[in-house]
Amino acid sequence: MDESHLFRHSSDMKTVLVVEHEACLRRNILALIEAEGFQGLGIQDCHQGLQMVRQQLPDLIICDNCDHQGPSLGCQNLLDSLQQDPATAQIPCLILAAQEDWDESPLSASLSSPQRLIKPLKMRHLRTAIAAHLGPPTDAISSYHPEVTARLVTAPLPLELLQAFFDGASSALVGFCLLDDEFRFIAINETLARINGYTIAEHLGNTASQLLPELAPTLLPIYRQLLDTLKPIVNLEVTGAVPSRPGITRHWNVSYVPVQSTEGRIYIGAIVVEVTGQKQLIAQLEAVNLNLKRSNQDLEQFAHTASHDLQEPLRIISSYAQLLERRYGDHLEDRGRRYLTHIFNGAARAQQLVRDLLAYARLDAQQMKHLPVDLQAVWAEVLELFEDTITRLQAQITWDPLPMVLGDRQRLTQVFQNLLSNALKFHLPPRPPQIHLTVAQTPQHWQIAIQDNGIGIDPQYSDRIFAAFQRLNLPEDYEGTGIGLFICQRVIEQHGGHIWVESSLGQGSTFYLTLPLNLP
Amino acid sequence: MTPKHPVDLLLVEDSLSDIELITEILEESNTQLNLHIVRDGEEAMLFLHQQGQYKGGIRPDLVLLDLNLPKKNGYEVLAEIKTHSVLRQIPVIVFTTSALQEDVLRAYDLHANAYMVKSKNFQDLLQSIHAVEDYWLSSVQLPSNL
Repeated sequence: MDESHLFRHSSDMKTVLVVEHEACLRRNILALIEAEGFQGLGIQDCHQGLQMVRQQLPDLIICDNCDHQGPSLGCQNLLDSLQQDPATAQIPCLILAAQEDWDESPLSASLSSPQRLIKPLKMRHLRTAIAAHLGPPTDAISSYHPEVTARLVTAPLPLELLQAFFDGASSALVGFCLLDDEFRFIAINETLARINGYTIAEHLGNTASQLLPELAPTLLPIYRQLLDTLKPIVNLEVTGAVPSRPGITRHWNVSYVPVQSTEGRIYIGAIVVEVTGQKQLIAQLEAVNLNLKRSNQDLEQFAHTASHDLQEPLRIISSYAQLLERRYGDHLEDRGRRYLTHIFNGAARAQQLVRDLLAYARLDAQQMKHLPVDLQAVWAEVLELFEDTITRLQAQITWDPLPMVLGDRQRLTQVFQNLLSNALKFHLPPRPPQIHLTVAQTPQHWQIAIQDNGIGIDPQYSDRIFAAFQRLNLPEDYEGTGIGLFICQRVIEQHGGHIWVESSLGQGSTFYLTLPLNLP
Repeated sequence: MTPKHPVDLLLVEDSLSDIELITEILEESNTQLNLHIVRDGEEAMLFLHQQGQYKGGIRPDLVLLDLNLPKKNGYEVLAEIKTHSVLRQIPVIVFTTSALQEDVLRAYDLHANAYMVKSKNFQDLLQSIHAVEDYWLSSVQLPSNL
């Protein structure tokens, strides 16, 4: 990238050609050259550099030591070419080189040390080297093209503006400051001063090492990196303690930008946001989440164990009641046999309750899946499950093709199982159950309706049937614990849908449920 | 004070097992009473209002009320009795498996006259029923026999 268009050529103005492949460093060097009152020309490699030298005849060349970077024309060749041409032989050339590259370079033998600049480049060294070769600038400002002049006039922000900005934003949420290249605070806002635990006045003129001894080992390398590379460092997370609250670990989000004065001096602009509170909140949230996960696992484990341990004594009760009836049934009068029936029924009901409670506990304890579920397959599975009942009751069941939805297959199966079970269970003899499932699509939802011709529900109880353990019938008429529809409602709501019933006594019931269309 | 005999007791209870248990315990004692049984909240209200199949029936002296009932639950029955200008005179004893504090408070909020928890073993249940007989059916002056 050639930045020469920024700097119009002027015959009486001294020109510096910068051959540097790294765009950011090249721009920074050019900026310094410009600030020193010289004209800068930027070019990417030695090959283009040589052409540019011949066209422009610069007063000084600053060239990256590029010999080690591939087969293209390197510095040595550039220098040789310049030496061979009388027009260019006198142009001084400064080589930019890292110490380790320099030691291996053939150039190190042919050039004396004042003719090279060590990388990482210190801007003050560059300034000195340029001054040594070019002397004072030649009436720089007046010879600038108007565009460039305008830049120079607006670029240095008037001091009072800067001061007003610092004052106005002094208690902004964001802390900021300016440090010089020896890491002394030269400006700071109230927010950052407060974070550090000193007044603004106490900061000014003092170094970061003096004021923030605990943080200095973290900060100083960052400052140095910034001065060396002149590249902004953004959104860095810094953790440590400051004198305002010693011993307390805090967190900041920091950004550093190199800020250059018109004299070419580099300052460090720092932007600091305290994120300790956010960090703590996130940590708390993670801890709570972990606890919740654990307690969910505990709950499920507990429900498993409890159900297992509860089933055991119930089985004993039930078994011995049956044994009693078998062995001594003939010796019992009606009343005695009735007592046994109560024992069976009580135990059976308790076993069912335990199973239902376990099913319910799982709904909350287990993570719900969000996967594509083929409801057609779910429905087929449920039909198969009730095959015997369907045959026995001579039930007629018809259905529309069912869609794919996003959700938890096991839970949705539970829903359809409960709904079909109810439709079969609450049939109204002598008419055989007629059950029809319809599917309709609304803009956002699938609406599935399961219609039966059973006993129906008094509309005044149509909301209540979804409550836990709510029953509308006597246990000897229709078995069940009253948790089935409660689970249905829970599952459908977990899927982002609704469930409701439309019915009247003796007229059958239609259960409606909606499920979102949102397949990925 | 000699209570009217026999007392008409309305038992509102859905469980056949509980009904038989309570009936047997009551039969063991010498208390003279007419036991009326209904199985859900709707039926209880029909009985108390002497409507439907209970037209021309009697009004009970005492109600023994389960809370967990099909259709209208025990709270609804209790609320309807205690907000009715005449029925509210009838003492209602809540007789339930729940020992939850919120259930107890809710029942008394609705002006239950007593709250009894169904004991988990037979011996205690026997004593509870006998306590009801001794107190509510023998010691207490019920409004209906004035």
